[in-house]
Amino acid sequence: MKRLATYTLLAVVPLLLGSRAIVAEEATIESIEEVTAEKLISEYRQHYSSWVQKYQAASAGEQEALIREMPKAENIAKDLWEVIEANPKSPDTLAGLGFILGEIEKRQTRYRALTLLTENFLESEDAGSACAQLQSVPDRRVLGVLEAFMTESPHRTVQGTARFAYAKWLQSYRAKKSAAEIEACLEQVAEDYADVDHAYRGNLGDLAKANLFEIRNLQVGMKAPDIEGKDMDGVPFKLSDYRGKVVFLDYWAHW
Amino acid sequence: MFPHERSLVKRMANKPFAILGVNGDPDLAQANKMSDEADVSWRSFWNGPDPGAGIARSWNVSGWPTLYLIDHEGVIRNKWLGSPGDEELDLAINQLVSVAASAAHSD
Repeated sequence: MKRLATYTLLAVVPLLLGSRAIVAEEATIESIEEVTAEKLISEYRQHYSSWVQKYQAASAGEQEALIREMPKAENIAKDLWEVIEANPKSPDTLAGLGFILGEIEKRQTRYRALTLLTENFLESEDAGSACAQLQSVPDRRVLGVLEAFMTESPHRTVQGTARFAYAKWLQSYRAKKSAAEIEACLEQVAEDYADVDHAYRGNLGDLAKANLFEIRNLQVGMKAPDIEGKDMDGVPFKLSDYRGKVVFLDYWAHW
Repeated sequence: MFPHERSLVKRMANKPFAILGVNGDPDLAQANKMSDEADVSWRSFWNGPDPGAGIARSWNVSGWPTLYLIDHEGVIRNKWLGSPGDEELDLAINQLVSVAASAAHSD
């Protein structure tokens, strides 16, 4: 997809006409630039963050009006699809599909994106981050898509990332019903894909083990595992030093 | 969040209750300076320079704040990703503290 980019130049051209005359000329320059999904997405994000700044600085009365101007991901959907359809197999399309799946909550749109992802990127080495994104998409068709990547992708990184996302999806949306399946799935990730880097953080082995630890040791009704460390003055202490007291344990930061 | 914690510290003085933090700020000196300014009086483990490692990693913390409420016997009674609001926290804390207080009296 191409679009017309219009720049207006205000050229102040001093001309010597007679004794003194200054002519201001306005010139419009038109050029054609390539539109990509990445570009559309970054423009949207910029637009959104400047809206947030404006909103935070506004008074309560102004905020009410500003709410209606909040940029919505749907607004760029039409342009995104045009780009995607022009190059359905490019890495740029993969970024576009990731954005659509993460941000747009329309059933139809999601279906189209999931179908395209499976049809065009099952063999792609770069499909990992899209798979990782699927773990928080509340749509049960995600499971089928992740299963396809788990079993049919030729790349271990994608297989492992999809399997981990599968477990995380079940944890978010079917925790009680699928408890056994979640553990089995995480165990398999820890066993077969421990060395694989996750798209966002750490490696899959550590992530899977930390998730299994939470499932097995950090549930309501379980005895809290001890914590040993140093306080912010460097003095060592333990969580169990406070046995006999109710402890409100707060993972916090100033950031 | 901090005003509620400050009020808890005051309200629960002399009761079987403690706030313990795991601080995720990567820069310890900076965190200590900001804690002084914000009057943070409760004790915290420092998680280290990487909030994705250390204690937070072993407890599988996926977002900050993550909150656990642990009773006087060391059993996890509640957990929240993000604060559920002061009211819900106070309710849960009050209940456990009164159980802990009566257990201490009957010892």
